[in-house]
Amino acid sequence: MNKFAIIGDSTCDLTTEMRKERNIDYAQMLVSWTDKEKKFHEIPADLDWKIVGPKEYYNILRDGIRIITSQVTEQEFDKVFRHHLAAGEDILYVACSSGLSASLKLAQRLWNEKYSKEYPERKLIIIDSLISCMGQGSMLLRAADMRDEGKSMEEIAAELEKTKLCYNQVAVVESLDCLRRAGRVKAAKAFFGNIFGVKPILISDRAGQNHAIEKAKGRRGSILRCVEMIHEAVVNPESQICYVLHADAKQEDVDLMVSKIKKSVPFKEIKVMTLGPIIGATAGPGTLAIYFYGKEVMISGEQE
Amino acid sequence: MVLKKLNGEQFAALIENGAKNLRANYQEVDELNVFPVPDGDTGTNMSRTIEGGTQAIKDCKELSIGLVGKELSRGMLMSARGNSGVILSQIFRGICKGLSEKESVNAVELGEAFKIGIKQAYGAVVTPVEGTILTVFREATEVACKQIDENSTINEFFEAHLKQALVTLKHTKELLPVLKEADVIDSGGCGYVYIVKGIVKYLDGEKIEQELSSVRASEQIDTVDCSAFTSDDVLKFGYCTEFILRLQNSKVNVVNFNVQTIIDDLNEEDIKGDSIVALKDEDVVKVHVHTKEPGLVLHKMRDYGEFLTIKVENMALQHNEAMSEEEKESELQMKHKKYAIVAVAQGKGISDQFKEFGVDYIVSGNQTMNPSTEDFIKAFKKINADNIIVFPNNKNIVMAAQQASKLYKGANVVVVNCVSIPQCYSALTMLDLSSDDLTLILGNFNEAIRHVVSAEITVAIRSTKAQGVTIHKGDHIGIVDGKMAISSSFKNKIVVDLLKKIPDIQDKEVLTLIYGDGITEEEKIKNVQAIEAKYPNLEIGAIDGGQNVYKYLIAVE
Repeated sequence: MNKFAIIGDSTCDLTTEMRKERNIDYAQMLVSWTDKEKKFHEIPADLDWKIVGPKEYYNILRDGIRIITSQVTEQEFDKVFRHHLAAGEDILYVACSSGLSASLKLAQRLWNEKYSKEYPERKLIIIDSLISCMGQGSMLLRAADMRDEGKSMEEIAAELEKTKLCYNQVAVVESLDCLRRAGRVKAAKAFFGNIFGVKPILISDRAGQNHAIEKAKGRRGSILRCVEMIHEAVVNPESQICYVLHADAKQEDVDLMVSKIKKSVPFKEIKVMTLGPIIGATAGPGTLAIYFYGKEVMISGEQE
Repeated sequence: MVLKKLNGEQFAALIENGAKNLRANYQEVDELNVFPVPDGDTGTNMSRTIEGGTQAIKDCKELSIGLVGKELSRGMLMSARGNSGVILSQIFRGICKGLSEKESVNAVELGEAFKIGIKQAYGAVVTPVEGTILTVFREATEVACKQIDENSTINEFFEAHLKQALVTLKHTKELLPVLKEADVIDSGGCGYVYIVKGIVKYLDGEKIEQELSSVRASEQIDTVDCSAFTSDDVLKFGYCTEFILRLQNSKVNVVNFNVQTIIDDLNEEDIKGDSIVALKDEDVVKVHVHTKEPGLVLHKMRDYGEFLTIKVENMALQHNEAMSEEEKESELQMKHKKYAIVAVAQGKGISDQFKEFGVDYIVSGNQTMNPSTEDFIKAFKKINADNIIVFPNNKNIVMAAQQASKLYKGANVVVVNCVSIPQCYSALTMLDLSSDDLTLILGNFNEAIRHVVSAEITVAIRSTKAQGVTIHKGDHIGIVDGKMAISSSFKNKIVVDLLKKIPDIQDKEVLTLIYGDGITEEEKIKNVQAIEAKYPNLEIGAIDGGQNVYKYLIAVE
């Protein structure tokens, strides 16, 4: 059986330790912004937070500055893919949802045009995760588990394709500002208008888009509603880890979310992590996003 | 003049004199308020209600009391406004039912008709409260009926009726604790007594000189034009089917019965229900559904209980009857919607905000200016929708909205139990029609309303004591969910002082301030600063509502 690399991208939000421990690589996207002195910055969307720390990063957004995100570049794929191909590895790329990024399309095109010709004996399988953050991250971890069990790349890909809509997201943003600035959320304007105190709850729908499915009132109300939704959708919580990602949210909000989840759903473990730079830039500071394995997502949000 | 019998013309003259007497004294009735705020203008409301009736019979050439009664009843029904006005219109609706088909009546027959008025009025109120116009009318009728016989005159009936009405009116103070504390008699009962006094005066030969308002109610709306569905027509719209079901213990577990069971049935392939509304209230389920198979629905529902009432109407007729040709034309120009929202509001800021939230039509009105049944019907006619959701936003407007919803046949009209602007504001922020499920939509509204505390601040128009609070004229007074909470002369921290009276304020997260007309910038800033200092966890938002009467309307969620 051929050796194969498991690769994600900047939206998978896996920590340095997680990637190292499970031998998962990732391709970086980019983030850019213009600061108050009109200075332009562009940095890789780095999951090690080496260039700009999470607090500093979310404070840029708090200052009302728009951070623009861009997909994985050709140079980055050249670097990451060629590195593994040259080492004689096939590639399983579990990509950010096609509903959010075109990175996987570029990867496929580059494979067809270049890499497959350069390395005709190698194979590439791309999984459209139809989710991001620790939904995508959990799929990568699952792939690593299966690799440890000795499963082939094809077997892993088949399993992920079959179950990918079971990776659930329930997220709540603190304010609508970033979503609006980014124009990313798929929801009719009239649904939210400019309503003060109302928090949308976002799920990742069947098209892998962030869909504002409900409104909740107030921070606490929205957290409680998230927990209800997790409770309704979760499957076998005893045997899985629940990931609570936050975009530099208030500690009391994170604590409330964790304690309420603990109270109502018996997860094996709840891990608190930082929401990565890509989704964080669209959802905005204070966002709380929960990822877990559950019932297949049946909701299709609005079509473009 | 002494009347042995009463004909239509005489009846009309009596009612007119009664209406004039009320008009001459309506301000006194207006002032009989429990709270010293300029709200619930009972005298104005009752005057305008009965004048809608007198206007309808003004040019009536009929001599038959039955026909005059029919016109009077219709006119009052349409012009009814405020809860006392709606009850008054229902009293007369009952009386006129009792008079129908009659040329003239003697005192005994008149008494019998009045008794039907009791039944009609009590039946129109969900929970009749004694110590109100209902009690005054009932006791006065019961006592008068006992005192008359076949030889009695009409004069004797009304004299006995008035005598007892005055006795009961005085007694209302003892029946309702709120009246006793404020030391006032019931305003609706008082308004009714003025009407009867006017009638007795006429019989004594005294015609009252008084201008009446002359707003005429629109033409008949409740005749069914059956030409819209001929023997060659094909059933296209189905039947608007409404019923009230009493769940039976012998059939289901009444306490745990989930109304979703019924909704699922109505969605089944054979019934194909549309515009479904099913609401459970203890052991009673109210259901509204459009279907081509009402028979199947009724059959199926008996698995759960037995019917209290059933109404099935061909919707082709409904569509027709509610509209004149001209209105049909204008309706065609409005975009058809499945759901539309009508809300009562006053103040430009509030109205604009509500429209932005998705309200289709604002019925102008507030405490001092209660819209009539007809105002609602006009709004319903302008809207081209299958389902109309109404927010009355005031306790004293609810009944007129409900009366209109029953009279209007052009759409499925649901009146939300929403009795304040803050409640409406909160419900609208949670508006979400995407489920396309009326039960769910209304459920969301009710949920939002349940979670909001409404607070209001206004200025006392007189000194009094209400619900344990001593009030001085000119003070700022604060009301929380309809209860008098504080009276204070410190206007710069009145809001925070009022918030302290909300028991679970520490658990609240969102506060919306709706500024009334004429609040100074300084007052606004001082109040917001005081709230922020005292409750740092509250998210505070503010809107320039522009309403009169209330300096602040506050939604706390």
